[in-house]
Amino acid sequence: MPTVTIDGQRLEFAPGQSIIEVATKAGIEIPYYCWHAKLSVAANCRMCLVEVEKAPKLVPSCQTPCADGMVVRTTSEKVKETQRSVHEFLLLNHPVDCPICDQAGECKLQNYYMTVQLTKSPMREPRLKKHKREELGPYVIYDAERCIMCTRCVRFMEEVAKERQLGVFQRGNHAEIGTFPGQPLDHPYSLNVVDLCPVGALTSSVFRFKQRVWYLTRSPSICSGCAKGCNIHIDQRSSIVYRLLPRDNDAVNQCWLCDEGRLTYTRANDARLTEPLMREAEAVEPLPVKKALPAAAALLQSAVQAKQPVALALSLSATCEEAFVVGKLARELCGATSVALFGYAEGVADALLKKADKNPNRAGVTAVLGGLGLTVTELAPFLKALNQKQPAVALVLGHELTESEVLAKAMRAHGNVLHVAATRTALAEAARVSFPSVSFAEADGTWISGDGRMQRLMPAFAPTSEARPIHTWVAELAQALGVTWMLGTPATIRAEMERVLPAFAAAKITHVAPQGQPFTPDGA
Amino acid sequence: MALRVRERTSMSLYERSFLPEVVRGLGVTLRHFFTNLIFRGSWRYTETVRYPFEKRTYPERFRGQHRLLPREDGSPRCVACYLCATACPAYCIHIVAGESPERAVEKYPVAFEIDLLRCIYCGFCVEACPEDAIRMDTGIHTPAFLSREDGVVGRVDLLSLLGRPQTPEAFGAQNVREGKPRGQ
Repeated sequence: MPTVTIDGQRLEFAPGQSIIEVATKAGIEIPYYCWHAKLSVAANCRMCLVEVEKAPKLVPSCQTPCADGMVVRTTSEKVKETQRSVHEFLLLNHPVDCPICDQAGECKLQNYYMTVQLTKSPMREPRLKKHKREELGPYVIYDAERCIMCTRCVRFMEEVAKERQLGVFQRGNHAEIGTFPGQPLDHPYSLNVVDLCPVGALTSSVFRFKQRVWYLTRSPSICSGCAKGCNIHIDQRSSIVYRLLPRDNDAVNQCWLCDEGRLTYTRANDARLTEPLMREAEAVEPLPVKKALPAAAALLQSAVQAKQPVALALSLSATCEEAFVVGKLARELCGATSVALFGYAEGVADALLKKADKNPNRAGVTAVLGGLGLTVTELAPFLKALNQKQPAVALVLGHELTESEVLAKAMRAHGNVLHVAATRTALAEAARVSFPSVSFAEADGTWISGDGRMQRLMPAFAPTSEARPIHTWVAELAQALGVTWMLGTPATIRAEMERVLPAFAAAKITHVAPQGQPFTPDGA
Repeated sequence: MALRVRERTSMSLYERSFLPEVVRGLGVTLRHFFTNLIFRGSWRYTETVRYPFEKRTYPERFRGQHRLLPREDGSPRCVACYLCATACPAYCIHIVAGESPERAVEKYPVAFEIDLLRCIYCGFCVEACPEDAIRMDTGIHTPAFLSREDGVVGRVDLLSLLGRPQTPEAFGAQNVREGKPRGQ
């Protein structure tokens, strides 16, 4: 393999790789703004200039392919002086309004100023005034003064989103990013340009001014927006989720995330059910867990002991572990042969990431329940049975339910429905007893995406209210009925699943890497 | 941390009468009284201020209760950057930022609350402020509160306070208590 020497390190490279790619991989930091691994090379920020032996001038390391025997220096005085000057130049007209800039704290201009420049601005003239707070589209706000014209956003729209909604207008000092007349930036992936922007020029109108970034705690998770299972970061503070950002995973979403998925962060915050609810006639009252659990258990027990049918419906957002415990309850206690599945309505798919199935774990729930010998049905037979009052007691178990008028009406009419949900919807108020469940941000378990990829869902924070996962509620109900499964945590459930279901034997929960792994329902 | 349980011992009759301790305390007072009577002007003399008839003047940099400084139109200079809240070691500053409808000012504090009961009057917030929007130059001591809620001072109250006469002038609306306000 050909080698290149960067800062005295001999590094191997594949033909065609640029200096910055090889250096970054080896842990050598070259400052850059406009370069992005998934976008074409523009080489216009000039921050990544490095010294190459026998080259007459400094070369942009993002654009220069490595050659065999090339000797590169990234920390020589000449390079450092150039970086300082380039940075001075980039900051010439910068308004330095960091106090009101959302990017402050994760801004490359701030970081490189501290590491590379550290000099006062040489600008004697008044700084150029440009327009601020320009709404490019429904979610993106542009500040022309902060922009350094790296054109990452323009290249993203052209190369990844495949819709040229952004362009560079004017020249020189006056250049700025803009949209075309009558065509706002309304692409379903428009918020990616906010992530791409290395400075605070493009900000998200959803996250804007909500929180300073240095307060946020980041943890890995999986997007609950559709069956794609995009890898995300949850940014939260005090158990409130403020934004979702894409997490790099070349096997799933590369480094992109759709706007629809990003906006699902509200599912972790809004209208949360915080304590059990009990319905007596028309009055819905909050109830402590100590009282709600025996009430629900007594209801279930009367049906189980009288050998009356119990119907179950499970959310398609439930984790595999939750599905397993629910399946166990259905088979061993309720004597049910089928479980109805419900979730979000079908949506629109696209070529980049979005799947039409808006439920994150249809594959997983189906595989687990099928493996337990249960048939899975749509919601319609469950509704029909509910309306005919066939089951004595019904359980509707789900994380995140969109309001479903029909289901709520049927639940209200039936009167003996137990419900577990994260949000206080019409369903929670229609049920006899409702228990609060965790949201996707607090859940621990695995999801299997529509592409057959098992991914670990990590809790970003512990539930602050009485919220517990579905499997905990189900296990506690079972315990009240006199059956102790000892399935307390996702780990113990997984151990049991691996014993019972061959398909899960191959993938131990602790082995599911942060990037996920392929899953085959037949266990091959 | 290990928990140490200590037996509460009951006081003896001697201690319970409190009389010997009262006498001992009066002794200290009397000692100072006679020392001051005899050694006036010497290093033994204890300087006292006849509070509340006399009050000491505080140094210029005394940190009293905070105030928010206004712009010329009376709105707070604060841009809700959270730097004071970030610098605060007592976590007593609570800010909710919002998008201002005016074009000139992008960000403003929808809510700006200081919990005076938590505040340790370190002045870090004043140091951190990039806008000179918060100062501790009112010269006011923390008032007494009847409930914890009263200890939380909001944006409007903080804006209504003025600085002491000797406080440095800030560009904006009326700033200094007594003395001539700017522009008159």
